[in-house]
Amino acid sequence: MKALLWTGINETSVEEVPDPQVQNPEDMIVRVRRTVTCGSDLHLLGGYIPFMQKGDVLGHEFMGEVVEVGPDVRRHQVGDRVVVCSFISCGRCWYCKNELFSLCDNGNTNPGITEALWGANPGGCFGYSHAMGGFAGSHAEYVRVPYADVGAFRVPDGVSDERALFASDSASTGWMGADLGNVRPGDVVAVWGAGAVGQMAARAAMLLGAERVILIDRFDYRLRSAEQHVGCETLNYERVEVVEELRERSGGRGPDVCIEAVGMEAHSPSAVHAYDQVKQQLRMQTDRPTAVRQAIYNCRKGGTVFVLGVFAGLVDKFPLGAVMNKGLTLRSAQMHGQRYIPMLLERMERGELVTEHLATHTMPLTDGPRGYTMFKEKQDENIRSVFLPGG
Amino acid sequence: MSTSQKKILSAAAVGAAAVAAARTVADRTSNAADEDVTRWRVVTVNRPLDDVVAGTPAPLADLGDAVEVRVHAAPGDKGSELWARWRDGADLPDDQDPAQVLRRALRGSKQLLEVGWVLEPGRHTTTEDTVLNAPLRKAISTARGAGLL
Ligand SMILES: NC(=O)c1ccc[n+]([C@@H]2O[C@H](COP(=O)([O-])OP(=O)(O)OC[C@H]3O[C@@H](n4cnc5c(N)ncnc54)[C@H](O)[C@@H]3O)[C@@H](O)[C@H]2O)c1
Ligand SMILES: [Zn+2]
Ligand SMILES: [Zn+2]
Repeated sequence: MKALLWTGINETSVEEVPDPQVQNPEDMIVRVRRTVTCGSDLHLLGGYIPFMQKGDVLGHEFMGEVVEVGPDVRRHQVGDRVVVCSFISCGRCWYCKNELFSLCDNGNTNPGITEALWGANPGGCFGYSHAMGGFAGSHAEYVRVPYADVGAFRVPDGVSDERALFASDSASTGWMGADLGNVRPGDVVAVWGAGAVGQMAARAAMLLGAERVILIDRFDYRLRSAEQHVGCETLNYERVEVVEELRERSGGRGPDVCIEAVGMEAHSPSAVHAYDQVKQQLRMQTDRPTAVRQAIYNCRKGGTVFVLGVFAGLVDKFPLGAVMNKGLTLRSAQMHGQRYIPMLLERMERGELVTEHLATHTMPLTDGPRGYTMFKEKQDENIRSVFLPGG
Repeated sequence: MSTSQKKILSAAAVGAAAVAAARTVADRTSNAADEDVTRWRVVTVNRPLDDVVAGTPAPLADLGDAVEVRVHAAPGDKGSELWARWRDGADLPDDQDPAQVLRRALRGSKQLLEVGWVLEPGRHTTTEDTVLNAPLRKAISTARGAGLL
């Protein structure tokens, strides 16, 4: 089959690889109908998560059609249209039973790598490096889905492929940020990053009853897209002072909940950016935490900061003093998608959650390398590139 | 410096960092505690104690009398703790690191008890063995038996 492979830092190519097979009784094989780039892939592409091998298949946000089921798969049949959670979780360990699916004890087949790095191993993820299990990704004609009854969900007839696709990762990640960030009716919520994840977090905050939701970025086209399709307020940090503006829009208190949806390659308008970049390149810090710093600084006393952006290692100039003295709650996680996907599909069917606008560019998988360049360089007002392995 | 030169330089710096990080992990696949071969190692299994005492799962049972196994209830709602150690003076595997063998057996036993089978890693698509990716290949090949457990 054809698949989009990571072939080196900032290099991808579409090549022939062997078809996946059912290897465990609860595996199934999905013929991928749509698979999409994610901000997380940029961290892999750029070599910031250094556990990729030349030839690894990229991609973790996808939907498709079931073409083969293992003998113990109960909830799915050949022909089902399914959306699959990006994280691979067993559904039976203590973490899964407590709905902390991305922390699954039995999803990562390389537990030693992350135990050495972080002191414990999170679950596995499709196409997300050998640190996350080395599972082949979804930018391919077919993909093996382990624990199929736990991680795959039938798409209701009333939800299109285009819309359902984003339940796989970005919509469920965004929802988690608002939910576990404890957004309450009447809250003021600020979200950093107007990519798909930030937009979905903003939408989730609105649906959970927030009074005002303010999305922050520097790309006007992304902010315009969110105003139009998500319906939140926006703020371009290159034109206005974030600190003053957020204070003003929250009655001088600061936002109750601050959600960071930017990650380890954050941009900063100040001299600190050059400092962070140099330190990152010299390996004196692995990640650039600009937006995390801002979220912490701007959050109201006693508020919550939720870090959705992916970080891999160490950060510098972490404002622990602000966390401590303002009594903040700081939370973070890889996405616990299995917890939210069925509810999100229902909301998608009711039209409360729309995602089609995120797919600014749709193309055959063979154009994948170009799709990644457009996504990374934000060419032609790209928000996400969607690939069609079927052409 | 041109933009493309800058790009190449920064890619090289990130690349070097990548190799260094993989090497760190490869080095850490054995840790200080591994030197104490007979140390107790433990996993918590999300099953009631009765299910765990019912029989030693195959990966541990396969190690025979060389390992000593102990089971008791975990606090709270966390299930049971499955402990194992190489007995003093036991015949240790001579072709593999005994600490890694025991960790793999404990992790496999936990998965058998919780899930019923052990998740197989994906089959690799294409990959080339190079000097640069040697540390990562080593980290991957030992990753099931490595770690802190
Ligand atoms: N927690 C999870 O499970 C999970 C799941 C999916 C994605 N993610 C992470 O979420 C992050 C966002 O993903 P995405 O797909 O939306 O990425 P994206 O790259 O499309 O969007 C990131 C946005 O952040 C903006 N940005 C950069 N610096 C900023 C700053 N200082 N302040 C405000 N905005 C800034 C960029 O302009 C861009 O629009 C990534 O780090 C990704 O890895 C996490
Ligand atoms: Zn993602
Ligand atoms: Zn689990």
